[in-house]
Amino acid sequence: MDGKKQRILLVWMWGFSAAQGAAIISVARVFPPPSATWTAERVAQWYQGHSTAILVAAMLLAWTSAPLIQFAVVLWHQARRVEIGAKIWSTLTLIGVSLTSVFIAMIGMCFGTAAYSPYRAPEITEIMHQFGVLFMVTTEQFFIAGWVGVAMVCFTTPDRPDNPFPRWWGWTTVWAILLFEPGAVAFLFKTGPLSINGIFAFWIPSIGFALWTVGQTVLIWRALRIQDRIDDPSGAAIATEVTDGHIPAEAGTR
Amino acid sequence: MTTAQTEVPAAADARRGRVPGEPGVWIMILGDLIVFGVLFVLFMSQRGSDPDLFNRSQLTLHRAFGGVNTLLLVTSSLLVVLAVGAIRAGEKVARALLYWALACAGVFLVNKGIEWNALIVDGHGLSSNSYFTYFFVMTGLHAAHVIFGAALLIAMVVLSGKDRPSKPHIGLVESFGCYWHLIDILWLIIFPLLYLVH
Repeated sequence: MDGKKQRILLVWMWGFSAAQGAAIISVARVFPPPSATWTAERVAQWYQGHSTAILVAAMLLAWTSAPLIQFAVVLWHQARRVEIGAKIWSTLTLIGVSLTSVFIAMIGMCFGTAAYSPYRAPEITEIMHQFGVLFMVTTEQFFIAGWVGVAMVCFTTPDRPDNPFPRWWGWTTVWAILLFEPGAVAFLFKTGPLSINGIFAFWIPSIGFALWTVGQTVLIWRALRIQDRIDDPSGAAIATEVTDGHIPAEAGTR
Repeated sequence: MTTAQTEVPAAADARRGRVPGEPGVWIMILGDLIVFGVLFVLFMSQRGSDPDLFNRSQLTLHRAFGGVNTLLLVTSSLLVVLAVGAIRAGEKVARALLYWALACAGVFLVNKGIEWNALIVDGHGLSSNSYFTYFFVMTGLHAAHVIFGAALLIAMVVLSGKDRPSKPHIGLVESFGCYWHLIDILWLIIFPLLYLVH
């Protein structure tokens, strides 16, 4: 039953994420962000040119602004299930991933505000635009805090089929952290691989983030299937088989 | 523990073709290599579009800094290899070897800082031209890796203090050692790319 609740949250999260992706990529066309070398006049012209589309995208982003909260709850629930002792790393994951949602909501607010009155002074539109782009690219430290929690859970819990945080995934998460770190460097560059639409500040972190989220979802989904079997009294034999004769002490406490 | 005892698992490992360290750490190492590989390709591509600028800019570097840093990292890698062997054999010398490797990392970073300062005083910065953008980005990212690697060396020092390191501990020590070698390998590519290719 609890597995079903978590699956609902994961489907909800992916549904909203798909809507957000469509909003910022296809409707608002701010993903990838325009060049940082654009003048205030050019930014203002761009918003004047398709303000309706950006406002629709902002509305979509506002409707779907919290998919990482659903994901954070599932991550937290799964992490605290296996974490030994005080649930410090699980809580760090919950808070880090949840707070990232705030910045995603801010991105829509900034682009929406820029497009709300596109014929105002160009410098004001430019500021809102830059807020949106820089929020999108440089605020990854909150998610990194969540990733540190996930990595620590991976490294401090035993590898079991019902644990969605295997050790190899911990190393993958550490690598993802290293990929994500260059984002904030975008403040220093207007062009090149570390600018806001460069390969290191934008493309690699974006693709890494998407791949990590898909991977973690698959691991949780697979673990949930095994947890369902462990919880099902008629599946006791399967549970014994998959855990090599050691049913986890906390199994069934989901 | 005797030498004979340490040779047995090593020989067995060789027969099995065992991958050193935890298998998961290789995801991180290969992933890091891919990311730096992308950076190297971008650098070469930019260099191809303006070779004169890159050659002129390169002449302003002090190769001695890069050469000394290469020697330091190669030496530190050798020290880490010896330290991992000593930890596996339960020998106390491991700790001293790791301290020397840490010293090499420290001197590398100080040397890098002096080089950066000299370049900045000469008027070269991140935005001077595309060569110096790549120079500071590549060496900065690498220095960040050296700092992270030095933290892992400190963790190795702690693990080397255990009288009888368990198999998971040895796996961790080997993983950290492999990561240090990655840092060395990256520098062995960065050094000729930035300082020597002309």
